[in-house]
Amino acid sequence: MEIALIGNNDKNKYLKPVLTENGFDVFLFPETEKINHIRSRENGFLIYTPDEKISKDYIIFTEKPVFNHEYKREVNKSWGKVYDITDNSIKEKDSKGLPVVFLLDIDGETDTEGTMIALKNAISIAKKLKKVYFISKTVRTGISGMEEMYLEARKSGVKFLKYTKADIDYDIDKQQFKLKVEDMFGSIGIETVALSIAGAGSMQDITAKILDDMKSKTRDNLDKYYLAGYKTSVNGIYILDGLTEEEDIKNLNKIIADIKKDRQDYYINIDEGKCAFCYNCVRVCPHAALEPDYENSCMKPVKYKCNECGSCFSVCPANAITWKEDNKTAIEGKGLFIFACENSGAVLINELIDFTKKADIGISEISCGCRIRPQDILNALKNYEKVAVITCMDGACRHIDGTEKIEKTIKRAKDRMEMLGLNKDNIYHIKASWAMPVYIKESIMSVMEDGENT
Amino acid sequence: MKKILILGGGLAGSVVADKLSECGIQTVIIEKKSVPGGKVREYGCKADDECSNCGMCLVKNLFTRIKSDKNIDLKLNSKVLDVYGSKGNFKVLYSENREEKKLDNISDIVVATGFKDTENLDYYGLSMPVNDRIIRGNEMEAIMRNRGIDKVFPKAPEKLAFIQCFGSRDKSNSTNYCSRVCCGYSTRMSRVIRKYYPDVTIDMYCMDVQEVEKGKYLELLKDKSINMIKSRPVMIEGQSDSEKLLIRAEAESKKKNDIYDYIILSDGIIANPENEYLAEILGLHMNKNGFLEEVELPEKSGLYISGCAKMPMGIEETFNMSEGIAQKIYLGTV
Repeated sequence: MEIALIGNNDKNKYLKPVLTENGFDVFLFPETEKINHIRSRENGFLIYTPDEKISKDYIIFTEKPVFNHEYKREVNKSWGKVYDITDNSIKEKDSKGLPVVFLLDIDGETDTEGTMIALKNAISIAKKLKKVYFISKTVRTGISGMEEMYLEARKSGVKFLKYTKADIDYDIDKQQFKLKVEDMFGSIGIETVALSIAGAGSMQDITAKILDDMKSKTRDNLDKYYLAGYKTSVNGIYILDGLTEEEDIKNLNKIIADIKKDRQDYYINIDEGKCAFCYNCVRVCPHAALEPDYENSCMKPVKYKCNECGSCFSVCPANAITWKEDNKTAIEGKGLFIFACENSGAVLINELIDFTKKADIGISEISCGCRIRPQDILNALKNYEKVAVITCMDGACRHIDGTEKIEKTIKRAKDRMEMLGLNKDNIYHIKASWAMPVYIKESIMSVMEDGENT
Repeated sequence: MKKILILGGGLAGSVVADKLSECGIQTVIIEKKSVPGGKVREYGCKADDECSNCGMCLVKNLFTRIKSDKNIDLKLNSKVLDVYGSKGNFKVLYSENREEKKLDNISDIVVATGFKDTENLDYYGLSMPVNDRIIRGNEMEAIMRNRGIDKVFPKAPEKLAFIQCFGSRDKSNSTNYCSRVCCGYSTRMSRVIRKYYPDVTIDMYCMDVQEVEKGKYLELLKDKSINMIKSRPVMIEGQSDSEKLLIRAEAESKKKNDIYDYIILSDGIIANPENEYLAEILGLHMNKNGFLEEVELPEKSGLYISGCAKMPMGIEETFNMSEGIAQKIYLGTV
């Protein structure tokens, strides 16, 4: 199995030997700024860099990652392409009703030949009834025939603008470029998906530079989704942000155990004799983790797809589905894992991290209690002894009845624990508000002390 | 690009700045203290088992957002000295860390200077000793905030009293109006105290009770056995170190003298003494209660007033009003 260690620091020195001992192929990736995005595949991940696509099974960040909580949003979207002025494929580009933009003289003056190529392209696009902007610092008529070309372009509907300063921005949500073009009198904003630029010198450098600039702007906004603890919201991506070597190695061992468990399990067993082949489980499974086996007239689980949500249990009329025995792991972990909602605990997350540093505590920020699923709690219980969820007081949720939903979630998680024959009393629910910090701290203390004396 | 000036970095000012920042409009906040947040910063959640809609959840991480926002220029330890010009082009003279500075290109000004510091409140007619067990509204808020898992007060009390309308509706002073928030916060606090101490006697000396929530709120208080006593106490007797305090009052035409462990004064919202000076430099009207009022329509004059600088109001009302002002300013710039 291949693991990518992403991060530019000394941690690789002591992390790599541990991983190779355990039979992993380690791939170091110190140039974090080169990663455009990461896309999840069925069995692993694809890391996109400007030059290549790298396929890896697991990813461990050794420094604060750029994508994290918002990771899913990020992976489905990619950066737009900035076209070189000589690239004719812009003609085929679907401009989604927005104008096609030719931006010249960026980072140095474009030569007359470049202008001519751009003009030709602009005319041919404008003739297909597409809106075209042609933005440059000066008008060039150095080659004979240029003046006629300008005239023709004007007739075909190309809009000409002269500028002194231009800003290029990229909106990753809308997947659009946002141009802000200024001249002596004012400025104009243009939105586009098809942007072709030209300047002096090698165009590839400039397009790369523009994309880098835009990405660095967007990265700032993603910083706030940083989680504490080594788990992220995506299975298979982990963070090691410990301050000491010991802490990192300890968490790394947990990750290795996690990965090995992850690969072996189907999570559920289906009794072939009992299965009525009724398709109920296939219909309700939100992860498409079951498929029909026509030879034996029964359902069978699909490898790696199951998310342990337990939906299929509740609908099976023949009680043919059971949890796989291997999954019945004894709880080895120590300490407490806290899910804190945005309205209650998460406001105090920095304070809580300081407060809980001494003990073995992990904290995850969730936007609302309604967002976590039973399997999130159970996953946390694989590595921690106890789990606490901090949510709003009754009636205080500003989302959709998050407090009621989390009560149901906890009940389902407890049922599941009972089914597995494990201790279900290790899941706690703290109802609090951010404006009572002492109460929250004392509640956490009491949860930690609970059951220690008996 | 023109900026918006906000006087006061409390709840009202911060909400305006936050909402405008979402629209990409740049703001400057002038805050006299060394941290943003004003008085709300010290307030606590007032839910017993159920949320009592005190509005504190709305505040959340507002002030940390304000500090790190790129569109907001937060000037701490500052005070506005003078304002020239009119809507679209105000020029402002202010002091930052006792240094005089100038601001140009201000299109609108939002006055969100809040209310008077309760620390320096005079004793309104009620004679009383100086004692730690006589607690002000804002001190009680801090106690609510710092309440633990099983206690509110360091030692469990037997008998508690709230004195309503303290510093409000007093004809002998300039505060001849209802502050509107005290009934809300004191009854909510009494519910929290009831949750922690089921056996404590809670008396509430009041003239009447404002509508806090729609529905049968008074009956809910009755269910929680919070005694409403229609009376205005005359004096509190006791020494500065005594643990029991005596309230002398007259209720139902009879003398009522009772001994309490803690007495909570539900003090109201008193206009900021700086309002007079602000009214002068900004050309606003100060009413007889000391609150600011607009002379012209704010859209015309470019002068908006939000929060308790305008009239006494609670957290949720302040929030809504400030959001409304931010919206008006944004629509003016489009």
